[in-house]
Amino acid sequence: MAATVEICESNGAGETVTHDIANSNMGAVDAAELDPVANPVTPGNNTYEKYQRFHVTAMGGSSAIDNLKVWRTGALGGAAVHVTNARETSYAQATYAIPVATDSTAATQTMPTSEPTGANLGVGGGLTGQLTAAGYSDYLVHQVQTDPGDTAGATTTMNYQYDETA
Amino acid sequence: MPTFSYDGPDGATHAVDGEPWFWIARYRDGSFLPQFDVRDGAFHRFDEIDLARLAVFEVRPAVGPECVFQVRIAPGMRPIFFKRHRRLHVGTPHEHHEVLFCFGYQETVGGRNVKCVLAVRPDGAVSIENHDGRPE
Repeated sequence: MAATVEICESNGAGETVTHDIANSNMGAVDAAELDPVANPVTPGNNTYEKYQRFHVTAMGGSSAIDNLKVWRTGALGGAAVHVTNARETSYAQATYAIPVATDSTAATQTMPTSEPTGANLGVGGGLTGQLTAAGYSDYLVHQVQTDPGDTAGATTTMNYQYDETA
Repeated sequence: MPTFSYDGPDGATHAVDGEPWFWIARYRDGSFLPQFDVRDGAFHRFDEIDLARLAVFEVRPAVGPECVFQVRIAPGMRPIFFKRHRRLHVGTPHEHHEVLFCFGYQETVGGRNVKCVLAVRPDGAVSIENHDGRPE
C-alpha cells in the first residue's frame, strides 16, 4: 500500500513537463525549479504562472488517491498576493496555457494560508474526483503578484496533501 | 518492514512493503482478514473486507508497543482507513513528508452523515480528525 505520487510542473508552449519537482520557486522566467536569485521579480510585476499537477506514477496496490489540498505558508512581503485557481467552492478545472507574467486569468483567488477544510484541487474536473490508476490531477495554477512598494526577500512556500486508500 | 504480495489488475503479482500501522477485519464467525497477512505473505486491499460479516475493525502498529484500536461495527456502520500524505514547506530546508494513518467509521443516523476519524501522527500522537475534509 504505497502509491507513488509526485508533483509535476508544465512549462512552455510545448508543455514541457518536469517530473517530481524539487521546489516551486517562482520568478521572472517560465521554468521549473528556477533560480529566484538569477530571475527576480521587480516589485510591481508578477511572477510567471505555475502550472503544476499531482502525478500518480504507480498505485502500488492502493485503490484511490483523492482529497487533494494545497496551501501556502510564509510571510509575503508588503502588498504582494499569492493567487491560485485552487478553491473549495465554485471549482472549475483549468486547462494548460503557456504561463504568463501578466495577471493570471486562471488564478483569481487568494491562496489559502493554512490547510483548507476540504479538497481545493480536483481530479477530472471535480473536487470529489479520484485517481484510481496512474495519471494526473487537474492543474494547479498559481502566481505571485507584487506591488511596487514590496521589498525583496519575502517568501511563500507551498504545501501539498493527498489521501491514499488501500 | 517485511514485504507482501498482491495480484494487480494486470494479472501480475506485485510486491508491497508492510506499513507501520495496519488494519485487521475481524468477522463475526471468528475469522479475520489482515491487511498484511503474515500467514501467507498476502497484502489485502480495503475493498476486500466483507462488510456484511464485519464485527470489529482493528488498527494496530506493526512494531513497537502494543496499542490496539478497535471499532466495533454495528449494522450500518462502515469502517474508514486511509493514509494522509503531507508534503510541507516544499523546496525549503524545512521540507518534510509526513504520513498520518487515519481510521474510524461512518454511519448515517436519521439521514445525517456521522463519522469519527482518528489519526496517528508521525510522533505517535493520536488526534481526532472528524472534520477530515473528505466527501460525505
